[in-house]
Amino acid sequence: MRTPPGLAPEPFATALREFAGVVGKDWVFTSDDDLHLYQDAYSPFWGEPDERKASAAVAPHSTEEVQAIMRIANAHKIPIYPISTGRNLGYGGAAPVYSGSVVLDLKRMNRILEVNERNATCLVEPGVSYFDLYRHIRANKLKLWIDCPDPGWGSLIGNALERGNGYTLAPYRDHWGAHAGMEVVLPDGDLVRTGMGAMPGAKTWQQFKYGYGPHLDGLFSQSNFGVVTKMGFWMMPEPEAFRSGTVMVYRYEDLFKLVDILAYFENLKVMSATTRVESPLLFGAFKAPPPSPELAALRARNPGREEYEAFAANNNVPYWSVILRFYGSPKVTAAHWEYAREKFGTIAGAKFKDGDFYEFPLSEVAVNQIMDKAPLGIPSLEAFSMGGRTPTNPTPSNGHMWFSPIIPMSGEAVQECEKVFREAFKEWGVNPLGLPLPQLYHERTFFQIYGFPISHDAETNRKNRETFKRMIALAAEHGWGEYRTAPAFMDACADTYSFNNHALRRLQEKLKDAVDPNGILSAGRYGIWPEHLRKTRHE
Amino acid sequence: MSTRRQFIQTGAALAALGTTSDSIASEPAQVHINLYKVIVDATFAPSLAFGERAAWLGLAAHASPSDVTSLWYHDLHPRWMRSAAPIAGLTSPESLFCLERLAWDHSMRVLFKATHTALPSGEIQHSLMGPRPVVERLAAGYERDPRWASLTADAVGRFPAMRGRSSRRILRTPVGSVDSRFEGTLVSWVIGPVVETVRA
Repeated sequence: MRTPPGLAPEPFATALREFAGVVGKDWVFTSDDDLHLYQDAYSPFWGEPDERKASAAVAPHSTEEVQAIMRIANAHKIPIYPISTGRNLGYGGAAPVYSGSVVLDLKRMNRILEVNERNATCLVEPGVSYFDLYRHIRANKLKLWIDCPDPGWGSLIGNALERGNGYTLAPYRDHWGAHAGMEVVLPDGDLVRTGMGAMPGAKTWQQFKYGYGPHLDGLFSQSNFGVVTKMGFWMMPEPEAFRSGTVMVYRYEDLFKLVDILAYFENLKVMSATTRVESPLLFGAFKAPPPSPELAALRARNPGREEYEAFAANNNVPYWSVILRFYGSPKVTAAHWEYAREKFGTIAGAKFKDGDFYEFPLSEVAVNQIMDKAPLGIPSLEAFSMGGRTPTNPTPSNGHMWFSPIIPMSGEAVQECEKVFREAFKEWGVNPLGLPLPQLYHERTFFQIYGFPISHDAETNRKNRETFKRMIALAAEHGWGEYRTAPAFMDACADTYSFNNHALRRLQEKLKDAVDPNGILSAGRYGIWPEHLRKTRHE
Repeated sequence: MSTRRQFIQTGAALAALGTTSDSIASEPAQVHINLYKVIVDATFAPSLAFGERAAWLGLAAHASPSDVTSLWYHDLHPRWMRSAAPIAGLTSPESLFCLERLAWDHSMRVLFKATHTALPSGEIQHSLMGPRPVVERLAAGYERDPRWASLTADAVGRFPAMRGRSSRRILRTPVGSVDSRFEGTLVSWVIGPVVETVRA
């Protein structure tokens, strides 16, 4: 039997028996076969001694059972690590940050407690996946959309607590920002409801986010101050129509005006869906077919800007492009696209291409035929098949880890970030995956994405971890910070948020010591360690 | 989600077991799992050969692209919500990655897995992992017959319900077989309920 660090087998066995007394013995897992399910499929420590593993897992069915488990864990000082569906791949999966913790598996708490069509809100438990809620909406013919990340098999609550993103309109694609009200079990087993939920019988728990007094919800996101057992979300009403279009510009300098207009539309909410600035010339657009032999040869030579611009003009290959997505009525979406063409048309030589147009509701047949489902709030697993072996991806990896610093939403910032990392990669002799181009997920900012493949070769993983940490530090030198990261890098990222001698971390640690004095809950998550482990923090 | 133990206790496992005995006279009679579906990715020639053989054996072959969303959402999930139902396939590793994790939520595991890698020499390297009788029989078949995909369909079509000790084998099949027309790596597999093992 595995045991948590520093805990003898006998008291651990006692705690497990007490857990079983709460949830039933069928829901306490200790065998290697069962615990294998809680390994991180994308662990950058694959097969190494530092790979994070659970000592056991316990799967409660109700909030009351979670409360009881936390009380037992406190009594025996058992480290606990809650997961919702455990599919946070690329960011740790189901594996605990502090190896040897007992995973608190909330998958069985999978009830959709309320969907309010008129107010476009829902209240769910942690085990509810995007697919579950989507299926519920389709089955009940509700005029609502979900906003899902790709892939869509994860938990609404888990993704929101991680501050993940989706693809529809701004108020919904920020999954944390779209939440309204939480129920949280504190480390001592006490039960708290936030926002209007603090008022017994409140009628607007999922409508009015703030309640009264300090807004504490943020304490439970990317943290370890409580176990979230219910969470409300604002949902998107089903629009009458969706329309997309592509803006294409052909000179390097066009980047600056392109981004400025994009930001204007985003902030005005003319166009507020997720998008990315692409360069069909330099890197190939997302999901694009392989380049022509001429373009491939040009990229291989990597000449100066002028030659690229000449190729762009002569071969109708845009230097930059952006896909815009509009939601509303057919007339409104047409008007917004027309408005976009007018504004982006002030960039000399800009061209436009009409994209998809759909009117809703869609039949199941129509849904299946849609290639790009996420912007329509349709969950899928397509992301995994895209990672498969193809002519342009001859050596697929065993997963990935993403480095994604937040940068300002400006052409200058994009230019600087691309240059800083290009030069660093050259100096370091590394070549990360992905397109070094900005994504518009969180409002008013871009983030860049650089990926590293997970290998089953320890030396490759060690080098990639080292590079990742150098990138965190280099980004911080330029004022760019990670928005989310895998357990292997949580401390390194937290270290960069160091204003006033790490005042933020010191505050977090004060709170941690007050709320969780035994330090049992999710030790080390996002760099917040309980007092007894602060001196032995992971790398 | 139910546990392995609960699954066994409720007797649901028996519903997933076939009751027909093995028709090959040289082998002892044994109970096989009833495969709900055999998954085929028409992108790959070996997968098609696997599916054709599976269909010939009377199994329900189902074509799916590497993106298994539709297969899972419309077919497997509703079926698995009623009870665990074994499936098998010869697909891309990415398809198996998704299906394996989705099956975990229904008390099922990968019971057999063979990784087939096309080598630059034209040979196919097979890494087999599963119940020893299945692995040994399949390895022997691969050594005498280059139609490895069809042989694999035979093996998963007669997959024992009660499994013995696990075994691993790595071997190669030569250049030139019908089933060698692919690049990279494919996987054949069986996903099914976890049941008690017997010592072989």
